[in-house]
Amino acid sequence: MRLSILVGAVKAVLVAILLFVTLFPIYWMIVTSLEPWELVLVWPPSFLPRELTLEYWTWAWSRFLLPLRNSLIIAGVTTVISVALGFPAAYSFSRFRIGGTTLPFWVLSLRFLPGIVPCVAFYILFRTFGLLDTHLAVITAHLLITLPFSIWMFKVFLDAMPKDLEEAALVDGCTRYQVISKVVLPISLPSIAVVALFSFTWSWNEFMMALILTKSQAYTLPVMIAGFRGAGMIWGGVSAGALLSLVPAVILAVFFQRYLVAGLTMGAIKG
Amino acid sequence: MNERRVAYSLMLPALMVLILAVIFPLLFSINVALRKYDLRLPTEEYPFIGLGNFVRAFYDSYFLHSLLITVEFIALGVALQLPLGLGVAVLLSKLSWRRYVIPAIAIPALTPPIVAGYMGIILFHPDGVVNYFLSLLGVSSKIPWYSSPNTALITCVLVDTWQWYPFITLVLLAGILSIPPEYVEAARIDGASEAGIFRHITLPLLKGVIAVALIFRMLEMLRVFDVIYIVTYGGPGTATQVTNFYSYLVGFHYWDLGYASAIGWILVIILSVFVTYYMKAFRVS
Repeated sequence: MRLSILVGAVKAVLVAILLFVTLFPIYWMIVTSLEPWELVLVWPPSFLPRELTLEYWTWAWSRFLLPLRNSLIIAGVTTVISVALGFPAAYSFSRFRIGGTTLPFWVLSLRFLPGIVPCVAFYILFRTFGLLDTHLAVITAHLLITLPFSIWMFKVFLDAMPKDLEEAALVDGCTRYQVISKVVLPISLPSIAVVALFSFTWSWNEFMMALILTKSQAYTLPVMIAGFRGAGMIWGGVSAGALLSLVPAVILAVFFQRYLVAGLTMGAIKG
Repeated sequence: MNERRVAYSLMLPALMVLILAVIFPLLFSINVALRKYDLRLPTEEYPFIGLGNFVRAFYDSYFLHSLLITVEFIALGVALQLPLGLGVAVLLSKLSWRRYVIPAIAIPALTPPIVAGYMGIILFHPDGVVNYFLSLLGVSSKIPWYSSPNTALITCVLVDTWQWYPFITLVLLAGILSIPPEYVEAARIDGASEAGIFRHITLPLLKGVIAVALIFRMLEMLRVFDVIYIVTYGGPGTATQVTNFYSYLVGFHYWDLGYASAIGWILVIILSVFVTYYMKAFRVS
């Protein structure tokens, strides 16, 4: 009995350390965004802000509005296209057995493609058509990853779904399109939410392509944050902007726990 | 109703976008890699030079150096992330209330890597919090983490570890939880110790999952870019100039897009060879 209490205590301590190491950086960004700049680097550091100011949040709000809007548009449109085109394609792959075993291989290898390869190609193409620094350029580049991802994830979900209902509907005289819109789509809503959120987060987080394809108009949050690199970094303001960019991550982590493994491994492991 | 036609009509829109956004760029970048595609040249023509860019890489000491740094980065990363990821997975598998812990440790893996790197800059600042904690542990000197060539790479690896050990943990945790409890029960009845159960039952059954988690991490680290860009920008000097970052400099600082593209494809070749042997070694499908 006493041993089990001890074991429990050790586990609790280990978890406490773990949570501290994992969450402290985020907590520290919150502190940095609220404390006057002169006090942030005073040695020794104080773990509660010595003074509070909202100056950096107002600073960030005016400057981060444009990249925030760009990130929302780019990630939003990328997600809508990935889901709207990916779902029917996945249905087709799943039910008509097209694509076979090479599809998952291709999807995975695209994820591991070194960033420079698509970047060079997209840069030259969009430069030729005068489309650099537009939402369209970044959206197209992001579809390189999110569309294959969405097709593959939906296929994993659809493969696991029982087919009896669909067959019954087909026997009752529904067309395939009706089966999809009236039977398959309603029961797929949870998986659509998962795929949509992972696509959104992927596009929202992506940096290299957004960096290379944008300049002064269509740049996203990560590009904005990285732009402060070096001496001109205003920590409080950048921290506030960086905290804004954590929102999708927190939503996914808190509400979609069951699907984290599948989403992070692109369906290679179902979790 | 013609089922085949339905099948293709459902696929067609996605297929068209895939051709535009995936296949065409890939083919085009091979084309670029085979040309002297240097935007600094005054001409508008980029002559075909065959494998010239690929040959050039073998004589480019910066490129070879960058490969070395990349290997170092991956080796350090695996050495930190695998034990940590596995340890935390085992710990969580023994907690009945783990569902309250998992969201917290999953957040780093979903954070924009640029933001993870930015946090690294704040925390590893010479007057920052990491050095403060170390001073509490008795390290009196302030370590110049990312501004010294000796510690810059490990700083980037530590940021990467903060962000990605949760990935290994989540994958291995799923693996541990899928082990039938009867196996463990039977061993316990036979009098096996917890350590014995871990070594002789859990670990062997996890081998495949560990192999998959590891290859995911290694391939991601092979193309690391964001953290390097924001924390050190490849420096000081070339201390953290990993290959993917070097290819960025070649392409978008020196505007030699042909050579940059070729470096990208050399990475693809290395990656494919590695994956093939790796899959054979671990018999991963």
